[in-house]
Amino acid sequence: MVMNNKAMNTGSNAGPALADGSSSVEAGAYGLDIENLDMTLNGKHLLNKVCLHVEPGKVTGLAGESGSGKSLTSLSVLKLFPDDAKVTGRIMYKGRNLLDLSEHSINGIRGREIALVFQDPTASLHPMISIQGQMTDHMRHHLGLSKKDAIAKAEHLLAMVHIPDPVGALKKYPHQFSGGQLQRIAIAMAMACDPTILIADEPTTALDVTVQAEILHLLRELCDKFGLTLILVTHDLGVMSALADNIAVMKAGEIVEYGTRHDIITDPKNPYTKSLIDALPMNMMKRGA
Amino acid sequence: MVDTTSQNATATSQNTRKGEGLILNNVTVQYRTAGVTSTALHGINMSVHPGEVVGLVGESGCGKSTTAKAICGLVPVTDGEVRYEGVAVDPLGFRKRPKTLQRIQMVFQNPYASLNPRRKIKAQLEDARAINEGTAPSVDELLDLVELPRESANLYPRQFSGGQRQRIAIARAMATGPSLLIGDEPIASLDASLQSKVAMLMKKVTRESGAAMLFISHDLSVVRLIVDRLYVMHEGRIVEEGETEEVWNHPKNRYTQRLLASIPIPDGSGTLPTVLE
Repeated sequence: MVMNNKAMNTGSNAGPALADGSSSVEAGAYGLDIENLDMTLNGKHLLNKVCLHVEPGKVTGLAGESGSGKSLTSLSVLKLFPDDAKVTGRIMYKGRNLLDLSEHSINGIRGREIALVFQDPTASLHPMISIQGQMTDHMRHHLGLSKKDAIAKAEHLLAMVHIPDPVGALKKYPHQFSGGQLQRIAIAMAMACDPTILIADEPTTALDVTVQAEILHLLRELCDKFGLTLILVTHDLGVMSALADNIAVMKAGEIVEYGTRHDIITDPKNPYTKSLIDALPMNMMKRGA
Repeated sequence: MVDTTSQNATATSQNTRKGEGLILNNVTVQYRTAGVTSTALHGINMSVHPGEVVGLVGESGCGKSTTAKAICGLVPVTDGEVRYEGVAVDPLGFRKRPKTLQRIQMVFQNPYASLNPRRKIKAQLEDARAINEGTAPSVDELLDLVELPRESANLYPRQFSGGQRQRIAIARAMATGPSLLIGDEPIASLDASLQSKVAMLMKKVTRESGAAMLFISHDLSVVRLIVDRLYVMHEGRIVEEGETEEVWNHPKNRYTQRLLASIPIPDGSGTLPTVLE
Protein backbone atom coordinates (compact mmCIF):
# COMPACT_ATOMS: atom_id res chain seq x y z
CA MET A 1 0.00 0.00 0.00
CA VAL A 2 2.85 2.36 0.55
CA MET A 3 4.69 1.81 -2.69
CA ASN A 4 4.06 4.28 -5.43
CA ASN A 5 2.81 2.76 -8.63
CA LYS A 6 5.89 3.12 -10.74
CA ALA A 7 8.00 1.31 -8.20
CA MET A 8 5.53 -1.47 -7.61
CA ASN A 9 5.90 -4.78 -9.34
CA THR A 10 2.25 -5.40 -10.01
CA GLY A 11 0.71 -8.32 -8.22
CA SER A 12 4.02 -9.47 -6.81
CA ASN A 13 3.57 -8.08 -3.34
CA ALA A 14 1.27 -10.57 -1.72
CA GLY A 15 1.84 -9.22 1.75
CA PRO A 16 -1.03 -7.89 3.79
CA ALA A 17 -1.52 -4.13 3.80
CA LEU A 18 -1.15 -2.93 7.34
CA ALA A 19 -3.41 0.06 7.82
CA ASP A 20 -1.87 1.07 11.11
CA GLY A 21 1.24 -1.09 11.07
CA SER A 22 0.00 -2.96 14.13
CA SER A 23 -1.58 -6.12 12.81
CA SER A 24 0.55 -9.16 12.24
CA VAL A 25 0.54 -12.32 10.20
CA GLU A 26 1.83 -14.76 12.75
CA ALA A 27 1.67 -14.27 16.44
CA GLY A 28 4.60 -12.26 17.67
CA ALA A 29 5.77 -11.10 14.24
CA TYR A 30 5.75 -7.38 13.62
CA GLY A 31 6.54 -5.48 10.49
CA LEU A 32 7.38 -1.89 9.76
CA ASP A 33 6.00 0.72 7.46
CA ILE A 34 8.31 3.40 6.23
CA GLU A 35 6.21 6.19 4.75
CA ASN A 36 7.59 9.07 2.69
CA LEU A 37 10.90 9.10 4.57
CA ASP A 38 12.80 12.16 3.45
CA MET A 39 16.19 13.27 4.71
CA THR A 40 18.27 16.36 4.06
CA LEU A 41 21.71 16.91 5.54
CA ASN A 42 23.74 20.08 4.99
CA GLY A 43 21.62 20.99 1.99
CA LYS A 44 22.05 17.55 0.42
CA HIS A 45 18.93 15.54 -0.28
CA LEU A 46 19.90 12.04 0.90
CA LEU A 47 16.59 10.19 0.99
CA ASN A 48 13.73 11.07 -1.30
CA LYS A 49 10.24 9.98 -0.22
CA VAL A 50 11.25 6.43 0.62
CA CYS A 51 8.22 4.18 1.11
CA LEU A 52 8.79 0.62 2.19
CA HIS A 53 6.53 -1.99 3.65
CA VAL A 54 8.51 -4.47 5.74
CA GLU A 55 6.40 -7.60 5.97
CA PRO A 56 6.19 -9.26 9.35
CA GLY A 57 8.12 -12.50 9.64
CA LYS A 58 9.70 -12.04 6.22
CA VAL A 59 13.12 -11.01 4.96
CA THR A 60 13.06 -7.63 3.23
CA GLY A 61 16.17 -6.84 1.25
CA LEU A 62 17.52 -3.39 0.50
CA ALA A 63 19.82 -3.50 -2.51
CA GLY A 64 21.76 -0.78 -4.28
CA GLU A 65 25.25 0.59 -4.78
CA SER A 66 27.23 2.39 -2.09
CA GLY A 67 25.80 5.80 -1.34
CA SER A 68 22.33 4.88 -2.53
CA GLY A 69 20.84 5.35 0.93
CA LYS A 70 20.16 1.76 1.87
CA SER A 71 22.06 1.89 5.17
CA LEU A 72 20.63 5.32 5.94
CA THR A 73 17.09 4.03 5.43
CA SER A 74 17.64 1.03 7.69
CA LEU A 75 19.42 3.02 10.38
CA SER A 76 16.66 5.65 10.37
CA VAL A 77 14.38 3.00 11.83
CA LEU A 78 16.35 3.35 15.07
CA LYS A 79 16.82 7.10 14.62
CA LEU A 80 20.54 6.51 14.09
CA PHE A 81 21.13 9.46 11.81
CA PRO A 82 23.20 12.62 12.28
CA ASP A 83 21.74 15.15 14.74
CA ASP A 84 21.50 17.94 12.19
CA ALA A 85 19.70 15.85 9.56
CA LYS A 86 16.26 17.15 8.62
CA VAL A 87 13.93 14.17 8.53
CA THR A 88 10.28 14.05 7.54
CA GLY A 89 7.89 11.16 7.00
CA ARG A 90 6.83 8.35 9.28
CA ILE A 91 8.20 4.98 10.35
CA MET A 92 5.26 3.07 11.78
CA TYR A 93 5.93 0.22 14.19
CA LYS A 94 3.24 -1.27 16.42
CA GLY A 95 1.04 1.73 15.69
CA ARG A 96 3.64 4.25 16.75
CA ASN A 97 5.75 6.58 14.66
CA LEU A 98 9.34 5.80 15.66
CA LEU A 99 10.52 9.18 14.42
CA ASP A 100 8.29 10.94 16.99
CA LEU A 101 9.69 9.03 19.94
CA SER A 102 11.88 10.74 22.48
CA GLU A 103 15.49 9.65 22.89
CA HIS A 104 14.44 7.86 26.08
CA SER A 105 11.61 5.94 24.42
CA ILE A 106 13.63 4.95 21.36
CA ASN A 107 16.36 3.66 23.67
CA GLY A 108 13.81 1.22 25.01
CA ILE A 109 13.36 -0.12 21.49
CA ARG A 110 16.99 -0.06 20.31
CA GLY A 111 18.48 -3.47 20.88
CA ARG A 112 15.33 -4.56 22.73
CA GLU A 113 12.69 -4.82 20.02
CA ILE A 114 14.67 -3.80 16.99
CA ALA A 115 18.26 -5.02 16.95
CA LEU A 116 21.18 -4.36 14.64
CA VAL A 117 24.02 -6.39 13.18
CA PHE A 118 26.77 -4.40 11.48
CA GLN A 119 29.11 -5.18 8.62
CA ASP A 120 32.40 -5.51 10.44
CA PRO A 121 32.30 -7.42 13.73
CA THR A 122 35.90 -6.51 14.50
CA ALA A 123 34.77 -2.88 14.61
CA SER A 124 31.38 -3.35 16.26
CA LEU A 125 32.67 -5.34 19.23
CA HIS A 126 34.75 -3.67 21.94
CA PRO A 127 38.32 -5.03 21.77
CA MET A 128 39.04 -4.66 25.47
CA ILE A 129 35.86 -6.01 27.03
CA SER A 130 35.37 -9.77 27.32
CA ILE A 131 32.57 -11.40 25.35
CA GLN A 132 30.73 -11.95 28.62
CA GLY A 133 30.92 -8.28 29.53
CA GLN A 134 29.62 -7.20 26.12
CA MET A 135 26.90 -9.80 25.93
CA THR A 136 25.39 -9.38 29.37
CA ASP A 137 25.40 -5.60 29.58
CA HIS A 138 22.31 -4.87 27.52
CA MET A 139 20.45 -7.95 28.83
CA ARG A 140 20.79 -6.65 32.36
CA HIS A 141 19.71 -3.18 31.25
CA HIS A 142 16.78 -4.11 29.02
CA LEU A 143 15.55 -7.31 30.64
CA GLY A 144 16.57 -6.57 34.22
CA LEU A 145 18.31 -9.92 34.58
CA SER A 146 20.64 -10.73 37.44
CA LYS A 147 24.29 -11.22 36.52
CA LYS A 148 23.97 -14.97 36.94
CA ASP A 149 20.86 -15.20 34.74
CA ALA A 150 22.42 -12.96 32.11
CA ILE A 151 25.49 -15.20 31.93
CA ALA A 152 23.32 -18.29 31.64
CA LYS A 153 21.36 -16.66 28.83
CA ALA A 154 24.56 -15.60 27.08
CA GLU A 155 25.77 -19.22 27.12
CA HIS A 156 22.48 -20.32 25.67
CA LEU A 157 22.70 -17.67 22.93
CA LEU A 158 26.25 -18.63 21.98
CA ALA A 159 25.17 -22.26 21.69
CA MET A 160 22.28 -21.12 19.50
CA VAL A 161 24.65 -19.45 17.02
CA HIS A 162 26.89 -22.54 17.08
CA ILE A 163 29.91 -21.15 18.88
CA PRO A 164 31.96 -24.11 20.12
CA ASP A 165 32.48 -24.17 23.93
CA PRO A 166 30.13 -21.28 24.90
CA VAL A 167 31.30 -21.26 28.53
CA GLY A 168 34.94 -20.83 27.52
CA ALA A 169 34.03 -18.32 24.81
CA LEU A 170 32.49 -15.93 27.34
CA LYS A 171 35.85 -15.48 29.03
CA LYS A 172 37.61 -14.63 25.78
CA TYR A 173 38.17 -11.33 24.00
CA PRO A 174 37.26 -10.42 20.39
CA HIS A 175 40.83 -10.81 19.08
CA GLN A 176 40.74 -14.49 19.99
CA PHE A 177 38.03 -15.24 17.44
CA SER A 178 37.94 -15.34 13.64
CA GLY A 179 35.79 -12.87 11.69
CA GLY A 180 33.06 -15.44 11.12
CA GLN A 181 32.92 -16.41 14.80
CA LEU A 182 32.77 -12.74 15.78
CA GLN A 183 29.85 -12.16 13.43
CA ARG A 184 28.08 -15.11 15.08
CA ILE A 185 28.70 -13.49 18.46
CA ALA A 186 27.40 -10.15 17.16
CA ILE A 187 24.26 -11.93 15.94
CA ALA A 188 23.88 -13.66 19.31
CA MET A 189 24.12 -10.27 21.02
CA ALA A 190 21.48 -8.83 18.71
CA MET A 191 19.18 -11.76 19.52
CA ALA A 192 19.72 -11.41 23.27
CA CYS A 193 16.55 -9.44 24.04
CA ASP A 194 14.34 -11.48 21.70
CA PRO A 195 13.87 -8.67 19.18
CA THR A 196 10.95 -8.70 16.75
CA ILE A 197 12.95 -7.03 14.01
CA LEU A 198 16.59 -7.56 13.13
CA ILE A 199 18.39 -5.13 10.85
CA ALA A 200 21.45 -6.70 9.24
CA ASP A 201 23.59 -4.10 7.48
CA GLU A 202 25.88 -5.94 5.06
CA PRO A 203 26.27 -8.82 7.55
CA THR A 204 28.50 -10.95 5.31
CA THR A 205 30.38 -8.40 3.21
CA ALA A 206 33.51 -8.53 5.37
CA LEU A 207 33.55 -12.32 5.45
CA ASP A 208 35.00 -15.04 3.24
CA VAL A 209 32.58 -16.74 0.91
CA THR A 210 32.73 -20.06 2.80
CA VAL A 211 32.01 -18.26 6.09
CA GLN A 212 29.35 -16.15 4.39
CA ALA A 213 27.47 -19.33 3.47
CA GLU A 214 27.48 -20.39 7.14
CA ILE A 215 26.19 -17.01 8.34
CA LEU A 216 23.43 -17.04 5.72
CA HIS A 217 22.34 -20.44 7.03
CA LEU A 218 22.36 -19.09 10.58
CA LEU A 219 20.22 -16.06 9.67
CA ARG A 220 17.75 -18.28 7.81
CA GLU A 221 17.59 -20.61 10.84
CA LEU A 222 16.88 -17.71 13.22
CA CYS A 223 14.18 -16.29 10.95
CA ASP A 224 12.45 -19.66 10.72
CA LYS A 225 12.79 -20.48 14.40
CA PHE A 226 11.66 -17.17 15.88
CA GLY A 227 9.48 -15.71 13.13
CA LEU A 228 11.95 -12.84 13.04
CA THR A 229 11.40 -9.95 10.67
CA LEU A 230 14.71 -9.30 8.95
CA ILE A 231 15.78 -6.19 7.09
CA LEU A 232 18.77 -7.26 5.03
CA VAL A 233 20.96 -4.54 3.57
CA THR A 234 23.45 -5.76 0.98
CA HIS A 235 24.85 -4.86 -2.41
CA ASP A 236 25.46 -8.54 -3.18
CA LEU A 237 22.57 -9.90 -5.22
CA GLY A 238 23.79 -13.44 -4.63
CA VAL A 239 23.26 -12.99 -0.89
CA MET A 240 19.96 -11.26 -1.62
CA SER A 241 18.77 -14.14 -3.76
CA ALA A 242 19.68 -16.65 -1.06
CA LEU A 243 17.89 -14.97 1.82
CA ALA A 244 15.44 -12.20 0.91
CA ASP A 245 11.70 -12.73 0.35
CA ASN A 246 11.12 -9.23 -1.00
CA ILE A 247 13.67 -6.87 -2.47
CA ALA A 248 13.67 -3.09 -2.70
CA VAL A 249 16.26 -1.62 -5.04
CA MET A 250 17.59 1.81 -4.12
CA LYS A 251 19.36 4.39 -6.20
CA ALA A 252 20.34 7.93 -5.20
CA GLY A 253 18.07 7.94 -2.15
CA GLU A 254 15.01 6.56 -3.88
CA ILE A 255 13.43 3.15 -4.11
CA VAL A 256 13.31 2.49 -7.84
CA GLU A 257 11.78 -0.97 -7.71
CA TYR A 258 10.16 -3.27 -5.19
CA GLY A 259 8.93 -6.80 -5.63
CA THR A 260 9.38 -10.42 -4.69
CA ARG A 261 12.85 -11.91 -4.84
CA HIS A 262 12.00 -13.97 -7.88
CA ASP A 263 10.47 -11.10 -9.85
CA ILE A 264 13.28 -8.65 -9.11
CA ILE A 265 16.07 -11.05 -10.01
CA THR A 266 14.57 -12.86 -12.96
CA ASP A 267 12.32 -10.15 -14.43
CA PRO A 268 13.46 -6.67 -13.40
CA LYS A 269 11.34 -3.84 -14.79
CA ASN A 270 13.36 -0.77 -13.87
CA PRO A 271 16.36 0.04 -16.13
CA TYR A 272 18.64 0.51 -13.10
CA THR A 273 17.66 -2.86 -11.62
CA LYS A 274 18.23 -4.38 -15.04
CA SER A 275 21.73 -2.93 -15.18
CA LEU A 276 22.50 -4.40 -11.74
CA ILE A 277 21.28 -7.83 -12.79
CA ASP A 278 23.15 -7.61 -16.09
CA ALA A 279 26.39 -6.84 -14.25
CA LEU A 280 26.28 -10.14 -12.36
CA PRO A 281 29.23 -12.31 -13.39
CA MET A 282 26.82 -15.15 -14.13
CA ASN A 283 24.88 -13.04 -16.62
CA MET A 284 27.97 -11.52 -18.21
CA MET A 285 29.17 -15.08 -18.76
CA LYS A 286 25.88 -16.02 -20.45
CA ARG A 287 26.17 -13.11 -22.85
CA GLY A 288 29.56 -14.49 -23.84
CA ALA A 289 31.37 -11.38 -22.71
CA MET B 1 85.37 -25.65 -29.85
CA VAL B 2 84.13 -26.57 -26.43
CA ASP B 3 83.92 -22.87 -25.60
CA THR B 4 81.71 -22.11 -28.58
CA THR B 5 79.26 -24.87 -27.75
CA SER B 6 78.95 -23.72 -24.21
CA GLN B 7 78.49 -20.14 -25.43
CA ASN B 8 75.78 -21.30 -27.82
CA ALA B 9 74.16 -23.23 -25.02
CA THR B 10 74.16 -20.15 -22.82
CA ALA B 11 72.73 -18.08 -25.66
CA THR B 12 69.88 -20.51 -26.33
CA SER B 13 69.10 -20.93 -22.67
CA GLN B 14 68.94 -17.17 -22.36
CA ASN B 15 66.65 -16.94 -25.37
CA THR B 16 64.24 -19.49 -23.96
CA ARG B 17 64.38 -17.74 -20.64
CA LYS B 18 63.38 -14.50 -22.32
CA GLY B 19 59.98 -15.98 -23.05
CA GLU B 20 59.51 -17.97 -19.90
CA GLY B 21 57.43 -15.29 -18.14
CA LEU B 22 57.01 -15.48 -14.42
CA ILE B 23 58.13 -18.54 -12.51
CA LEU B 24 57.74 -19.20 -8.79
CA ASN B 25 59.90 -22.14 -7.85
CA ASN B 26 59.24 -23.71 -4.45
CA VAL B 27 58.70 -20.32 -2.82
CA THR B 28 58.46 -20.19 0.95
CA VAL B 29 57.80 -16.92 2.77
CA GLN B 30 57.99 -16.58 6.52
CA TYR B 31 57.10 -13.59 8.63
CA ARG B 32 58.66 -13.04 12.01
CA THR B 33 56.79 -10.89 14.49
CA ALA B 34 57.80 -10.59 18.14
CA GLY B 35 60.04 -13.63 17.83
CA VAL B 36 57.26 -15.85 16.49
CA THR B 37 57.77 -17.21 12.99
CA SER B 38 54.72 -17.86 10.86
CA THR B 39 54.92 -19.41 7.44
CA ALA B 40 52.70 -17.63 4.90
CA LEU B 41 53.73 -19.63 1.85
CA HIS B 42 54.76 -23.29 1.98
CA GLY B 43 56.93 -23.88 -1.09
CA ILE B 44 54.54 -22.87 -3.84
CA ASN B 45 55.11 -23.42 -7.55
CA MET B 46 53.42 -21.19 -10.10
CA SER B 47 53.94 -19.81 -13.56
CA VAL B 48 52.45 -17.09 -15.71
CA HIS B 49 53.44 -17.35 -19.37
CA PRO B 50 53.74 -14.23 -21.54
CA GLY B 51 50.33 -12.97 -22.64
CA GLU B 52 48.47 -15.32 -20.35
CA VAL B 53 45.69 -14.26 -17.94
CA VAL B 54 45.96 -16.34 -14.79
CA GLY B 55 43.82 -16.24 -11.65
CA LEU B 56 44.78 -16.87 -8.04
CA VAL B 57 41.87 -17.42 -5.67
CA GLY B 58 41.53 -18.24 -2.00
CA GLU B 59 40.11 -16.87 1.22
CA SER B 60 41.59 -14.16 3.41
CA GLY B 61 44.81 -15.14 5.12
CA CYS B 62 45.65 -17.90 2.63
CA GLY B 63 48.73 -16.13 1.25
CA LYS B 64 47.40 -14.48 -1.91
CA SER B 65 48.77 -11.04 -1.14
CA THR B 66 52.06 -12.45 0.13
CA THR B 67 52.41 -14.15 -3.26
CA ALA B 68 51.79 -10.84 -5.03
CA LYS B 69 54.31 -9.08 -2.81
CA ALA B 70 56.92 -11.79 -3.32
CA ILE B 71 56.53 -11.43 -7.09
CA CYS B 72 57.14 -7.69 -6.89
CA GLY B 73 59.99 -8.06 -4.42
CA LEU B 74 58.05 -6.34 -1.66
CA VAL B 75 58.68 -9.19 0.80
CA PRO B 76 61.89 -11.23 0.96
CA VAL B 77 61.59 -14.87 -0.01
CA THR B 78 62.78 -17.25 2.74
CA ASP B 79 63.38 -20.17 0.43
CA GLY B 80 62.97 -20.92 -3.25
CA GLU B 81 63.11 -18.50 -6.15
CA VAL B 82 60.97 -15.98 -8.03
CA ARG B 83 62.16 -15.37 -11.59
CA TYR B 84 60.79 -13.09 -14.27
CA GLU B 85 62.06 -13.56 -17.82
CA GLY B 86 65.11 -15.25 -16.38
CA VAL B 87 65.91 -12.44 -13.93
CA ALA B 88 65.74 -13.31 -10.24
CA VAL B 89 63.46 -11.01 -8.27
CA ASP B 90 65.38 -9.57 -5.33
CA PRO B 91 63.77 -7.69 -2.47
CA LEU B 92 63.17 -4.08 -3.44
CA GLY B 93 65.72 -1.67 -2.02
CA PHE B 94 66.87 1.85 -2.73
CA ARG B 95 68.85 0.96 -5.84
CA LYS B 96 67.22 1.00 -9.27
CA ARG B 97 65.55 -2.23 -10.36
CA PRO B 98 66.66 -4.09 -13.48
CA LYS B 99 64.70 -2.95 -16.57
CA THR B 100 63.06 -6.37 -16.92
CA LEU B 101 61.59 -6.22 -13.43
CA GLN B 102 60.22 -2.72 -13.96
CA ARG B 103 57.84 -4.29 -16.41
CA ILE B 104 55.99 -6.01 -13.58
CA GLN B 105 53.31 -3.59 -12.39
CA MET B 106 50.78 -3.87 -9.64
CA VAL B 107 47.20 -2.64 -9.19
CA PHE B 108 46.22 -2.60 -5.52
CA GLN B 109 42.94 -3.26 -3.77
CA ASN B 110 42.20 0.19 -2.49
CA PRO B 111 42.36 2.96 -5.09
CA TYR B 112 41.75 5.53 -2.32
CA ALA B 113 45.09 4.65 -0.78
CA SER B 114 47.14 3.98 -3.89
CA LEU B 115 46.71 7.37 -5.57
CA ASN B 116 48.37 10.52 -4.26
CA PRO B 117 45.51 12.77 -3.09
CA ARG B 118 47.46 16.01 -3.64
CA ARG B 119 48.52 15.56 -7.21
CA LYS B 120 46.52 15.82 -10.40
CA ILE B 121 45.81 12.69 -12.41
CA LYS B 122 47.98 13.98 -15.26
CA ALA B 123 51.05 14.31 -13.04
CA GLN B 124 50.60 10.82 -11.63
CA LEU B 125 50.24 9.29 -15.07
CA GLU B 126 53.29 11.27 -16.32
CA ASP B 127 55.40 9.78 -13.51
CA ALA B 128 54.50 6.31 -14.65
CA ARG B 129 55.14 7.20 -18.31
CA ALA B 130 58.65 8.31 -17.44
CA ILE B 131 59.63 4.71 -16.71
CA ASN B 132 58.62 3.70 -20.19
CA GLU B 133 60.97 5.81 -22.32
CA GLY B 134 59.88 6.53 -25.88
CA THR B 135 57.04 4.08 -26.32
CA ALA B 136 54.68 5.18 -23.55
CA PRO B 137 51.12 5.93 -24.64
CA SER B 138 50.09 9.57 -24.11
CA VAL B 139 47.95 10.59 -21.14
CA ASP B 140 44.98 11.04 -23.49
CA GLU B 141 45.46 7.56 -24.90
CA LEU B 142 45.67 6.11 -21.40
CA LEU B 143 42.43 7.76 -20.34
CA ASP B 144 40.75 6.52 -23.53
CA LEU B 145 42.02 3.06 -22.73
CA VAL B 146 40.30 2.95 -19.35
CA GLU B 147 37.19 4.68 -20.72
CA LEU B 148 37.50 7.93 -18.79
CA PRO B 149 36.96 11.39 -20.34
CA ARG B 150 40.21 13.14 -21.35
CA GLU B 151 39.34 16.15 -19.16
CA SER B 152 39.95 13.88 -16.14
CA ALA B 153 43.68 14.61 -16.47
CA ASN B 154 43.32 17.99 -14.74
CA LEU B 155 41.35 16.72 -11.76
CA TYR B 156 42.38 15.33 -8.38
CA PRO B 157 41.66 11.77 -7.15
CA ARG B 158 39.02 13.01 -4.68
CA GLN B 159 36.89 14.16 -7.60
CA PHE B 160 36.37 10.59 -8.75
CA SER B 161 34.31 7.68 -7.51
CA GLY B 162 35.92 4.41 -6.34
CA GLY B 163 35.43 2.70 -9.69
CA GLN B 164 36.86 5.66 -11.58
CA ARG B 165 39.88 5.79 -9.28
CA GLN B 166 40.55 2.13 -9.90
CA ARG B 167 40.44 2.90 -13.62
CA ILE B 168 43.06 5.61 -13.05
CA ALA B 169 45.21 3.12 -11.11
CA ILE B 170 44.93 0.72 -14.05
CA ALA B 171 45.87 3.50 -16.50
CA ARG B 172 48.90 4.33 -14.36
CA ALA B 173 50.02 0.72 -14.35
CA MET B 174 49.57 0.51 -18.12
CA ALA B 175 51.52 3.75 -18.69
CA THR B 176 54.74 1.96 -17.81
CA GLY B 177 54.23 -0.51 -20.65
CA PRO B 178 54.11 -3.55 -18.37
CA SER B 179 54.55 -7.05 -19.67
CA LEU B 180 53.05 -8.48 -16.47
CA LEU B 181 50.24 -6.88 -14.52
CA ILE B 182 49.54 -8.09 -10.98
CA GLY B 183 46.07 -7.26 -9.68
CA ASP B 184 45.93 -7.79 -5.93
CA GLU B 185 42.17 -7.85 -5.19
CA PRO B 186 41.69 -4.91 -7.57
CA ILE B 187 37.90 -5.22 -7.46
CA ALA B 188 37.32 -6.06 -3.80
CA SER B 189 36.59 -2.51 -2.69
CA LEU B 190 34.21 -1.77 -5.55
CA ASP B 191 30.43 -2.08 -5.77
CA ALA B 192 29.15 -5.44 -6.95
CA SER B 193 27.80 -3.87 -10.13
CA LEU B 194 31.26 -2.50 -10.98
CA GLN B 195 33.35 -5.56 -10.14
CA SER B 196 32.74 -7.48 -13.32
CA LYS B 197 33.13 -4.34 -15.45
CA VAL B 198 36.51 -3.40 -13.96
CA ALA B 199 37.72 -7.01 -14.18
CA MET B 200 36.74 -7.13 -17.86
CA LEU B 201 38.47 -3.80 -18.43
CA MET B 202 41.69 -5.15 -16.91
CA LYS B 203 41.51 -8.14 -19.19
CA LYS B 204 40.88 -5.92 -22.21
CA VAL B 205 43.82 -3.59 -21.59
CA THR B 206 46.25 -6.41 -20.93
CA ARG B 207 45.10 -8.35 -23.99
CA GLU B 208 45.38 -5.27 -26.21
CA SER B 209 48.91 -4.54 -25.05
CA GLY B 210 49.93 -8.21 -25.22
CA ALA B 211 50.83 -8.25 -21.53
CA ALA B 212 50.21 -11.09 -19.11
CA MET B 213 48.15 -10.72 -15.97
CA LEU B 214 47.96 -12.42 -12.61
CA PHE B 215 44.53 -11.62 -11.20
CA ILE B 216 44.25 -12.23 -7.47
CA SER B 217 40.81 -12.34 -5.91
CA HIS B 218 38.63 -14.15 -3.43
CA ASP B 219 35.68 -13.93 -5.79
CA LEU B 220 35.76 -17.01 -7.96
CA SER B 221 32.70 -16.05 -9.99
CA VAL B 222 34.38 -12.86 -11.24
CA VAL B 223 37.76 -14.55 -11.73
CA ARG B 224 36.06 -17.14 -13.88
CA LEU B 225 34.92 -14.39 -16.26
CA ILE B 226 38.38 -13.34 -17.29
CA VAL B 227 41.10 -15.93 -16.69
CA ASP B 228 42.31 -18.81 -18.86
CA ARG B 229 43.90 -20.76 -16.06
CA LEU B 230 43.66 -20.58 -12.31
CA TYR B 231 45.31 -21.55 -9.07
CA VAL B 232 43.39 -22.21 -5.86
CA MET B 233 45.27 -21.42 -2.68
CA HIS B 234 44.53 -22.59 0.84
CA GLU B 235 46.60 -22.09 3.98
CA GLY B 236 49.72 -21.09 2.07
CA ARG B 237 49.62 -23.95 -0.40
CA ILE B 238 48.40 -24.30 -3.98
CA VAL B 239 45.72 -26.97 -3.65
CA GLU B 240 44.47 -27.02 -7.21
CA GLU B 241 45.43 -25.67 -10.59
CA GLY B 242 43.91 -26.01 -14.02
CA GLU B 243 41.93 -24.56 -16.91
CA THR B 244 39.22 -22.28 -15.52
CA GLU B 245 36.16 -24.17 -16.76
CA GLU B 246 37.67 -27.50 -15.77
CA VAL B 247 38.22 -26.33 -12.18
CA TRP B 248 34.80 -24.63 -12.08
CA ASN B 249 32.91 -27.66 -13.35
CA HIS B 250 35.00 -30.51 -11.97
CA PRO B 251 36.86 -29.38 -8.85
CA LYS B 252 39.04 -32.19 -7.54
CA ASN B 253 40.31 -30.78 -4.29
CA ARG B 254 38.01 -30.82 -1.25
CA TYR B 255 38.71 -27.17 -0.45
CA THR B 256 37.94 -26.05 -4.01
CA GLN B 257 34.68 -27.97 -3.83
CA ARG B 258 33.83 -26.20 -0.57
CA LEU B 259 34.69 -22.82 -2.05
CA LEU B 260 32.55 -23.40 -5.13
CA ALA B 261 29.59 -24.76 -3.19
CA SER B 262 29.46 -21.72 -0.95
CA ILE B 263 29.04 -19.18 -3.76
CA PRO B 264 25.43 -17.94 -3.63
CA ILE B 265 23.81 -18.12 -7.03
CA PRO B 266 21.67 -15.08 -7.87
CA ASP B 267 18.84 -16.95 -9.57
CA GLY B 268 15.96 -15.67 -7.44
CA SER B 269 15.11 -19.13 -6.15
CA GLY B 270 15.96 -18.46 -2.52
CA THR B 271 18.39 -21.38 -2.35
CA LEU B 272 21.01 -21.07 0.36
CA PRO B 273 24.58 -21.91 -0.66
CA THR B 274 25.77 -25.32 0.49
CA VAL B 275 28.12 -25.59 3.45
CA LEU B 276 30.47 -28.54 2.95
CA GLU B 277 32.50 -29.77 5.89
